[in-house]
Amino acid sequence: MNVCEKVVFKQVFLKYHRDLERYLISRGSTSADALDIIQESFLRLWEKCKEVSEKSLKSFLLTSSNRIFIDRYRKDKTRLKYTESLSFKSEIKDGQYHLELEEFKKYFEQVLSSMKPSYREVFMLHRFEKMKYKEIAEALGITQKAVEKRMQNALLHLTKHKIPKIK
Amino acid sequence: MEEREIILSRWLQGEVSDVQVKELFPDIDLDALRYTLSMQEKLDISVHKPESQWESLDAILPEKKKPIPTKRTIILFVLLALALFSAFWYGFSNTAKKLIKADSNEFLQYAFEDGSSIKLWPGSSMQYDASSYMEDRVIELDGEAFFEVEKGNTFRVETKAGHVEVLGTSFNVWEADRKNLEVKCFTGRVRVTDNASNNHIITAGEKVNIIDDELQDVATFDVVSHRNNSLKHYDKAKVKWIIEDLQNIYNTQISLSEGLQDRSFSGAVSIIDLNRALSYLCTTLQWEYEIKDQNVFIKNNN
Repeated sequence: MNVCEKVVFKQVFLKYHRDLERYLISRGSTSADALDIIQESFLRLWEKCKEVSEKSLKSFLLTSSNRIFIDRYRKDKTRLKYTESLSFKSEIKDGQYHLELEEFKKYFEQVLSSMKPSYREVFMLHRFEKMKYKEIAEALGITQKAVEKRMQNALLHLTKHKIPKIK
Repeated sequence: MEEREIILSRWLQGEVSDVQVKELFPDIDLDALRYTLSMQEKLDISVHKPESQWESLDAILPEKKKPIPTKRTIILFVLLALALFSAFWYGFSNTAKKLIKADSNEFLQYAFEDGSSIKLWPGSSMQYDASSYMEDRVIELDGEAFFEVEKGNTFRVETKAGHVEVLGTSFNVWEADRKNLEVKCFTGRVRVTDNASNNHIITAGEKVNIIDDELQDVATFDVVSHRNNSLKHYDKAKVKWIIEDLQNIYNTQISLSEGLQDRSFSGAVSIIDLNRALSYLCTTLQWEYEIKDQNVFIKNNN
C-alpha cells in the first residue's frame, strides 16, 4: 500500500476522517476547527507519505491532529467552550418519544456546557469514543489516576443536575 | 482518601458496588446517574461525511514529483546496468570508487541499490564505493545534489566543507568554493556537521549553511516553493557561486566585470531560461548583461 498514490491516500482519508473528527470534538474542538485540523494533518501526511508505514497511519494522524489542536487552543483557551454537536444514533419513528429525546439532548448539552473542560474532555473520550482510562491518559499525556479523578468529577457534575425522565 | 477521589470512575467500570459508593457518598442518586448514562448512550457525536470533505483537501493537495522524463529514465537504466556490470566484472571485493558526473546542461538522476536516489545538478559529481555502499552508505559530493534517501542505516554525504547524515528523508546539498555548504531538508531529519565537528540537526522546512568553514544558525525555507523545478533559490549567495551554477546549467561562459564576484544575491533564478535568469539577476543588482557568440558579459550599470 503506497500512501503517496492519490487513490490510496483518498482511501485513508475516507477511512479515518470520522474518527479524527469525533476525537477532536471530544477534546473540545469546534466542528469547523476540527475540519481544519484534519485537513492540516492530512497535508502533513501527504508531505511525509514516504516515511509513514501502513501500520502507523492512524497514530501519525492522531498525533498530528493532537499537536495542531494543542497549538491552536493553547493560544485561545476560551474556545474550549463546548459547542452543540450531538445527534441521535438511529432514527426514532415515534414522534412523541422523539420530542422527549430532543428535550433530553438539549438538556444534556447544557449540562456538558457547564462542565469544566478538562472533565468534559475525559468524559467525552470515555463515553463517546469508548477509550479506556489508560488510552485517554496516553492521549492527553497525564496519569491514569488523573483521568479517573477527572471522570469522577464529570460524573459528580452529572448528579448535580436533575435529568428529565422519559416514560 | 485516594479511593474516594476515583471510586465513581471504578464504579462505572463495574469494579465497585453501589453499597461501597454509598459508604463514601451517601447522598448520591446512583439510579439517576445510571439513567442519565443510559440515555447518553443513545446520543452520538455528529460528524461530516468524509466524501464531502475530500474535495476541499484534493483541491489544495500539492502535486507529487513528476515521474522522471524518458531521457533521464534511459540514463538511469544505463547507469544501473553499468553498475551491475561493473560489480560483476570487478567482483565485490574490489574497492575502486565509482564516479558519477553530470555534464553541463544536464541534470542526472542516479539510483542506488537500496532504492535511494540522487539528482545531480549540472556540472556536479559524486563518487562512492559500490562494494561497501550497502553497509555504510557513504557518498562524496562535489557540487550540488538533491537526495531522496530510503530508510535504513545512516546515509552520509561528505563534502569538503562538512558532512551530512540522515535516516530516511529528502534534502538538497549545495557546495560552493569547497568551504561553503547549504543543506535544505525537505522531509525527515538531517544532521549537518562542519569540519570542526560542530553540528545542527534540521527537520523539514529548515536549512543550514556552512560559510567559510563556519556552521551558521538554522534558518527556515518554504518547502513548496523550493521544490519548484524551474527555479533555484539563493539566500545571500555570492555572485561568483551563482555564475558558476549558471555556467554549468546553461553550458556557457560568463564573464563578470572587476569587483562584482563577491557581491551577494538573494532570490530565485530560472534554471530553464538563461535570458530570464540573467535578466532577473542583473535587474536586482542593477547591472547589465550582453550575450555575444554564446558568451555572456556582465558589468555594473554605473
